[in-house]
Order: sequence, then structure tokens, then C-alpha cells
Amino acid sequence: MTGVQVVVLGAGVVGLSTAVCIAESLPVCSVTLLAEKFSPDTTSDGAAGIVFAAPFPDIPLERQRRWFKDSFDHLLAIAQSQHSPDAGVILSSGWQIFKEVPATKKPYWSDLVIGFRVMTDRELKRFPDHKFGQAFTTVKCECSSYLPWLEERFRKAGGRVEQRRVSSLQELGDGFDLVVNCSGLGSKTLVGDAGVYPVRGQVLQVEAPWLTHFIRDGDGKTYIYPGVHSVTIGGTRQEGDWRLHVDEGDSASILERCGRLEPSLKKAKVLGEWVGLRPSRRNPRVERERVLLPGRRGVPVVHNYGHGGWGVTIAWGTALDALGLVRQCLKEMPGAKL
Amino acid sequence: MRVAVIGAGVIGLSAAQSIFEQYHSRVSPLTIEVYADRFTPLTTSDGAAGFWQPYLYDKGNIQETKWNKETFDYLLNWLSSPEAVKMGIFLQSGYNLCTEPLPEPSFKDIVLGFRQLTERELQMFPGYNFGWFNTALMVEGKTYLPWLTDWLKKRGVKFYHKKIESFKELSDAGVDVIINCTGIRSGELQPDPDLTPGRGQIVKVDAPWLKHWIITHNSKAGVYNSPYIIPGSRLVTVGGVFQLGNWSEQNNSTDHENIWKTACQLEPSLKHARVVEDWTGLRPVRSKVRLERETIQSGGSTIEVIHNYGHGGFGLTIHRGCAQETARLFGQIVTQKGKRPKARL
Repeated sequence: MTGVQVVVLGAGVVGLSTAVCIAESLPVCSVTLLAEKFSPDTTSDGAAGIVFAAPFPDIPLERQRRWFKDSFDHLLAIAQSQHSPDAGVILSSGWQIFKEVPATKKPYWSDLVIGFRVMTDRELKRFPDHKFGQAFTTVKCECSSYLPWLEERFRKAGGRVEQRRVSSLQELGDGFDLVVNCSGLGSKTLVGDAGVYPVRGQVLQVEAPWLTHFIRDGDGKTYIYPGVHSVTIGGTRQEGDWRLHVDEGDSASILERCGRLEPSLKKAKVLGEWVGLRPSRRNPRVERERVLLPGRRGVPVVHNYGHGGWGVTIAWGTALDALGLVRQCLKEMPGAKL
Repeated sequence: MRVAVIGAGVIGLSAAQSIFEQYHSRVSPLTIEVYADRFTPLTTSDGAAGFWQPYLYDKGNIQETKWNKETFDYLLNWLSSPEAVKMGIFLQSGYNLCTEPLPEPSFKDIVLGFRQLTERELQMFPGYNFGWFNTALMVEGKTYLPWLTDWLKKRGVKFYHKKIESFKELSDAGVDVIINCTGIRSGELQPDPDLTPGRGQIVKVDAPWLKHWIITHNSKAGVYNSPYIIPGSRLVTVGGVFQLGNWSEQNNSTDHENIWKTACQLEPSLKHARVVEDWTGLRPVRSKVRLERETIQSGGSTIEVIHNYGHGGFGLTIHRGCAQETARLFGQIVTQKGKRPKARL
């Protein structure tokens, strides 16, 4: 078998990660990345990119741990290497704090990040509204740098990139043997998945180079994430909200809530505001199916979308899973020698 | 009462601050003057990375550990105020790396979240097999000293750009108490064989992706003679050398090469960092800090001096504790001079 034509749809962190995994691991595949939007215009670009997870209700815990571990280890290796500034991947230490003691004091990923422990009383003193906290070191992956870096890797592995809006799989014609769908929120219409919905998030970029730790409220709505050139503060979680424009009320609320956690933010200059729609779903969809397209026998489609606010966190792990599914598809193809 | 502080590094300015805070309402009139030939940003305090951390062990100088703690708690308290940014203070976590297991350092209960490094963390630093992680404070001299200067000027403290040649010079001019904060050059006012320079050279680079300090310890090489990387609010300070007895304030290219080579081994991403400048400073090293009163007989009169110098590589780390002690000693002098402090109600 030669030249299996693979098309990956979507150039966010999940699409690019998946495209790289396939192009680098399967030389028999000729991979084309098709997307309407590329960095810096993807949902991934505005995300702070702190690697951090919440459990999905229906995915077996072992699989979620594997997704997290594979992603974390991959990013940690970059953060520790000379590629760190180029790729926009850095180590980040900080605290997750809770107003009430949470039911789960040690989340499923606590042994997968670095140095996880409960905060001491002295550390908690700085947050008088909070009763419990966790301290750990994780990685931060800034997609405005990481996506171009991945794209470079993709091209080096022989990948082709094409800017194009695809509104249905039928449009792809018969030039492709296998489709990998990483279209995030777009899957709602692209593959008719009614389970996909946006969770609107607004953030501010501020200039506060004296902030070196992340601070996150366990409710997921208030956070401060220092990055390479600016600090991302947020946020909002508005389910079913499709608005992509900045809401002044949200900005004011973010500044007020974050200022309470970190008073020095009141002196920070606001550099910009950004809105993204988390491509949410009850669980991420990482599975394969055969889709009947006009004039063709079933075309194998591997889905990898619905990561919600955890795209950066599990992109690499789910990409590896998707790679495994692609391998299975290849085995079933006529002329398969794998 | 007329007080003259000699020296405008962090030690001199903070001593002036503590004296003002504690005595401006008890002693009237209280005139405080600061004399120095170098002011921020040209003092030793300005070039230092601004990282709060004492040497690993205090060698029995428990007083110094107490002063270090006082300073940490004082600065930590300021953090909850928006003023913290203007003072140049902020929290930063990081790694103390050792090539062999060592006893816990004097500061383990002073800093936040002190713990041993995990296996995973040690794997991040090949060549080091033991160490600690904790959250400490940064206090950047180039911001803190202007803040202190401003604080003092607002309260009427006068600054004079003048090199003082002797204690007598000030005493003759009518100064009642001299606070000697002359750091490495204290020997010029009064010979001190125990005071010696610990020359340090650093390279300042632009590497904003680094958010942790990394300090390595090599018991054979000695303190600060092995690589360290300390990110600041604008630039990253890379060091280190600690050359006892070397009075040269010139940057040395061999030192630069060694510092750079070992730091890049420690942190590979540094090779992409833009080098901004080198700087050399002389740590005022002494077996222990000289913080004591001295009453000098000169002719028919007595000169009251409070010495506050010899803080080695931990001036910023210990400054507040020493300043408060200086003020306490000042209080003794005030009492003795019969100008009793007003009773506290």
C-alpha cells in the first residue's frame, strides 16, 4: 500500500496535534490539513493553555489518565528543552484554591503533574475567602506559538496545508482515503452532532510581569495565568452562548474577581480582550466510523473533537488515540500490509 | 536629634526608614540625613538579582536567621497591598539543587511551601540528585531603593551626594548619631580585617519564558560559586561567582564564559536568550553581620555610631530585621541622652 491520502479537518491544537502524530508515525500516509482558520485565529489561540483537567463522566478513568499523561509528558519534554521559547511551552507553578473544601481533594491527575500537594495554612492566608488549596507545577502551552511550531513539524514530516472552508464531508470529493475530523465546534454542523455546544469564555491579557504563579479558583470561573509575554486573566463559562464579541460587563467582572485574588492586578495595564467558544460535549468524541459518501463505499472517519475547555490539556493524548484508530482503519483497507 | 546615615544601599535606606517609623513621634525634632557617593541604580543592592534567600546554613548566627525571618514576614505582608508592585516585591518559586543530600536549610520554615524535590523534578536537572522546592520572595533593588528613597523624602529625610571621610567629620558638624551602612567600603572609615569583598559577576538576559529560580549548590565550589538563574520582573539574572578578596569591579570575560556555559547546561533554553548586560558587584562579606553600637572618644567629645554592615550576599534578605535592630539600638542612645521617648499610651 502506498500513498494513503489522509485529510485532517481543523487546525486548532487538536487538529494540528493529530496531523503531526499521523504524518510523523505513518510514512505510508500522505496527510493534508484542511481548515478555514489557522493560528492566530483559532479557538486554541486565545486559550491560556494551562494543562489542567476535569473528569469526563463517561470515559473510563484509565483512558482519561492516559490522555492526560501522554499530553503532559509530551509538553514537559518540550518545556525542558531548548525549544521551550519557540514552541511557547513553559513550566508553570501555582495554586488551585477552593472556597469550600472539595469532595475530591486529590483529582485523578494529581500524580501526573509535578510536586502536587495540599497548600499550607500560611500559603492559604493570602486568600482569606478560601479554605483549601492545592499547589503543584504543570505546563503552560501557548498556542499562538505552539500551533505555528507544530505546523512547522507537520510540514517537515511531509504534511500539506490548505486553507479551505468545508461545510460537509461530501465536499471532500473522492481524493481522500481517510478523514480525520478535528473540527471542534464545527462538528455540530459538519457531522450533525447535536451534542456539541459552545461554552463561551472571555479573557483579558494584562501586563503584569511580576506575576509568576497561576492562581485558579476551583470553580473554574476565576483564574490568573502568567504567560511568556503577558498574563491571561478570566473568565466566564456561558453555556450555549455563541457570542464572539467582547462583553464589557464580563471584563469588569473578571477584573474585579481576579483583583480580589491578586491585589497587584489593579496596577496592571490591560493589553487586550478575547473571546473563545469552548467546543464542548458531554465527553470528547475519539472514535472511528464508516461514513457513506456519494459514489463511494464507506469512507473511514476518525473523530477527535469535543474537548471543551481541555483541548490543550489532552490534545496530544487524544491525538495518539486517534493515531491508533487510523492504524486500525489502515489495517482494514484493501492492500493493507501493516 | 540629628541622625546621619552613611550609605544609600538597601541597608542604609531601610535603617533610616525604621528609625523614622519608630522615633519621629517620640523625638522632636528628629532630623535624618543620608550621605552617600553612590545612589540607586549604582549601589551594590541595585545590581543584585533581588532574590530573598539566606545562605543554606547560619553557622550558629541565629540572630541573623531571626532577622531574615523578620524581613521575609515584613515583605510578605506588603504583598497584599497594591503598593507591592511599586516596591518591586513579588513571589517566585523555584529549585535549590544539590549534588548530594544536605541537611535542611535555615530558611525552611520561613519560606512558603518548603519541600524536598520529587524524583520527577530531579530528572529535570541531570547532575543533581537532591534538593528542595519552595516559594520565596523577590525584592528588586532597582525598584525597592527608589521606593524607599521616595518614602524617606516624603517624610523630610534629606539626601546628600557626598563621600564622608570620617565619623569625626559628621560629629564636628553637629550630628548626634551616625548610622554606618557603608557596606564593602566600611574599612575606609574604620579598618575591619574581617570585612572582605566577595566579588560577584552576573549576566542579565531577556528570557521571559522562565518563571522559576534555580540555585545550584556545590559544597566544594562554595556558596554562589556554582550556577544560578533568577528571573526578575524584566530580565533574568544568571550567575554565579563568589571570589573572596577580589576587589575588581570590572566585568571579566572568563567569568562571563564560565557563568554562561554552566547556566546553559542547567537550562538549555537559555541559548535563545538575548544577553543584555554584565554587571559586577562586591558582596560585603564578613564572618557575621556587624550590627552594634560603638561610642568613639574623639578629643573631648564622644561620637555615637551604630554599625550596620557586612551583610555579604544576603543584604536584601536580611535588611528589615537589621533596620529594626538598628532602630532599637538608636532607642538606647535616645534614652541615654536623656531625651526620653514619650511614654506609649
